[in-house]
Amino acid sequence: MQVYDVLIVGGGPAGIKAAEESVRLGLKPILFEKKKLGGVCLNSGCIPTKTLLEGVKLRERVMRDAPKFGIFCSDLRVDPGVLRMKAEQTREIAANFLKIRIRDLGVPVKEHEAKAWRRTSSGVFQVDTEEGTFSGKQLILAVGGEPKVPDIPGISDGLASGRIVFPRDVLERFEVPPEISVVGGGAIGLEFASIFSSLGTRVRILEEAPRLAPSFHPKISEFLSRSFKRKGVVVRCGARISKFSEGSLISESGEKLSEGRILLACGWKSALPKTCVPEGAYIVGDAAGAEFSASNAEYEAENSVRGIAGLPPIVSPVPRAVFSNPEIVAAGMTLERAREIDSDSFETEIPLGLSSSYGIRHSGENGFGVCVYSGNGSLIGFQLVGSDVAELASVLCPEGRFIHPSLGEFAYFSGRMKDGGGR
Amino acid sequence: MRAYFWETTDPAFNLAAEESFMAEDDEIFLLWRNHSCVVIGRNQDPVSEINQKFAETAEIPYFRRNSGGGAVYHDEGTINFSFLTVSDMSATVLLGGFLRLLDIKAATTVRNDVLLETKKIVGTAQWVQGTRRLFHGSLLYDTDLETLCAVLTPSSEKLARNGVASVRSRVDNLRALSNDGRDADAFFEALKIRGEREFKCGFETLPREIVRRAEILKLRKYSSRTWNRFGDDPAFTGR
Repeated sequence: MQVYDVLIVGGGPAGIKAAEESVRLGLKPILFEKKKLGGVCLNSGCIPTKTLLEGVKLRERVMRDAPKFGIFCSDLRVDPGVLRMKAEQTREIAANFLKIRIRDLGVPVKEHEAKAWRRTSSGVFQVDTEEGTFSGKQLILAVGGEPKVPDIPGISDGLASGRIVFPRDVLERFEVPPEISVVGGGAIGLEFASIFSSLGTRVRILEEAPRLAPSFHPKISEFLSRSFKRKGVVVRCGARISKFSEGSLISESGEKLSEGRILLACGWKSALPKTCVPEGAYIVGDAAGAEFSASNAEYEAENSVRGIAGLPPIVSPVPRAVFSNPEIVAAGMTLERAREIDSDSFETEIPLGLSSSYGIRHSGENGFGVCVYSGNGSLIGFQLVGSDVAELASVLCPEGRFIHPSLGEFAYFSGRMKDGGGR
Repeated sequence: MRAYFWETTDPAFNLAAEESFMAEDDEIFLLWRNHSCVVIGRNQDPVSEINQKFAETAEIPYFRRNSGGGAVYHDEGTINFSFLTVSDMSATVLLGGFLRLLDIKAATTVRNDVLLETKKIVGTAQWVQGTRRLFHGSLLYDTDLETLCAVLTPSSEKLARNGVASVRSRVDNLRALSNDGRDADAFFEALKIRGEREFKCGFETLPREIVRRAEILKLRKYSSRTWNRFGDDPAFTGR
C-alpha cells in the first residue's frame, strides 16, 4: 500500500496551500475534500461576496465621481439577478483555475469525505474514505470552520422559519429585501451591510461590542461608523440581545432591536471536534481557530509543511482585510502592544485624501490610516480605512504575506510556481 | 513581562536556561553573562569560524546556539539579553526595548545590529519555534577586543562584503565609546534597574523548575559534541 508523505483533510485555502507547499518542498501529498475545492472562501465566502461588493462599489463610485469627470449617466439601477450571476460566474472561473492549479501540481485529490482519521500504533496516520483507507507519514487537518450561532433563546425557531439566515443563505438565494438587520459588526457583518445598504435596503447593524469592527483601531471604528451612518445605515453598538420572539430580536429591556430579516454574522468557529485530533497531527486555518481568514489559513498551512520538511517557519505579520465599503486593511502591531517593550514606539495618522493618487481616484471620499513605528522609525504595523485600501497590504507587508484575494498575491505566487501557475 | 537575571557564567548552562524559557507562555526578559567563549550560529561550521589554534592555547571553548546569525565572542564584559515573546512581536520593537535601557543615541541597521559612532556594539539573532519567538543579542560593553579579533576568523568573503579590512575596525566597546567609568558588573546592575523601570517588573533569579530543565538540557545538548560541532540536536534525533 502506498504511504503518502502528507495526508491533507480539507481543500479550502489552508488545504490547498498545504498541498502546494508540500510539492514545492519535494513531499508527496494527497488531498481529501468532501464538497468543492476552494472551501468556504471560494464557494460561499470571500469570492462571491467580494464580487457583489465590487458591483455596489462600482455603482457608488460612478454616482459619486463620474459627474466630476464630466461623465453623466442617468439610470444607475442595479439588477440583483445580473449581479448574482456575475458572482456565480466569478466563482466558476476561480474554481476552474484552482482545478488547473491542482492538476498541474500533480496532487491527487479525493473528492470524498474523510470519515475518520487516526494514528496507528506504528505511528502512521490513516484517513478513511468510501474509496478505502489511505496512509501517510503526516496528517494536516484543514477542515475549516462554520458560523457561530449565538446562544439566544428562540434562535433555532428563527433559523427554522427562515426569518434568521446566514450569509451563505443570502448568497445562495440572493434577493434585495426592503429591510434587514445584521447581527455582528465584524468583517462579514460589515460586508453584507455594505451590499444591502447600497442596493436600497434599510439596514441596521447590531453589534454587542461598544463599537463597530472591534478588532481594529478605535479611530477606524469611528470612521466606519460615520461612513455607514451617512449612508443611512442604523448602527446600534452595545446591543444586548436577550431573545428571538415573534419574528424579532428583543433586548434585555424588552425593546425590539431588529427590523425585517435577520442576518447572523456574529463570528466564526472551528468545525473540528476537539476529540478528533490524533497526537502529532497539524491543525491549520479556521479549524485551528486562532484567526479566521484565508490569508492566515495559508500562513499556518505553509509553516506547518515547512515544519514537516524540517525547515524553520517564516514568521511575518499576516494582514487582515474587510472588503466593506469603505474597505479596511490591517497588519502588524498596535501601538499599545509595541509600547509594552519599546516605549519610544509611536503612531502617526495619515489622511489618505492628501495623496494625489487617492484624490484622483476617489475624489470626495475620505480615507484614513494609522501607522505604527518602532522607536528607530521602522514601520511595524498599519491600519487603513478607505476605498481600495485592501490591496495596499501587498506593498506594506514583508515576506510575501497578502490579502486573499488580491492582485499582489497573484503576482507573487503565480511567479513562484512552475509554468506561471496555471494558464 | 517577567524578568530574570543570574550570576552563573557557564555558557552551556546559560544557553540551556534560555532555551528552557521557550516553553513558558509569558513574555520574558533575561540578562546574563558568559565567561570567555565563542558562540556560533545554528548553521555555522566552527572550523571555519574559529581560529582553532588560538582557541586551544587560550582555552576558549565554543558553543552552538539555536538562533541563526554569525559567531560572537563573549566574556564577562559582554552583556547578553534575551526576549522570549509570542512570535508576532516585532524584532525591531524588542531591540528598541533593549536600547531604551542603554540610554544612548544609537543607530540600528536592517539586520538589527546597533551602531554607535559607526562601530557595531550590539549584534542580535532570533529563533522562532511555533508561536514563540526568541530574540537575543550581545552588547560589547567591556569585552576584550584583542581576544575577540584573534579567536574569530571571518571569511575573506564576508570581510569583502562589509568592505572593511578587519573586525577590529568595525566593532567597539560601549564603555570606551561613552567614556563610562563603571565596570561591567556595575553596568549590569544599572541595566537591571533601568529594566525594572522600563518593563515595569522586578528582576528575579532563576526559578527552580527552569534550573532543573536547564541542567538536563545542558548535559544532553549544550555540552554535547554532536550539537556543538555538527549541529545535530539530540532532541530531534529522528530527523
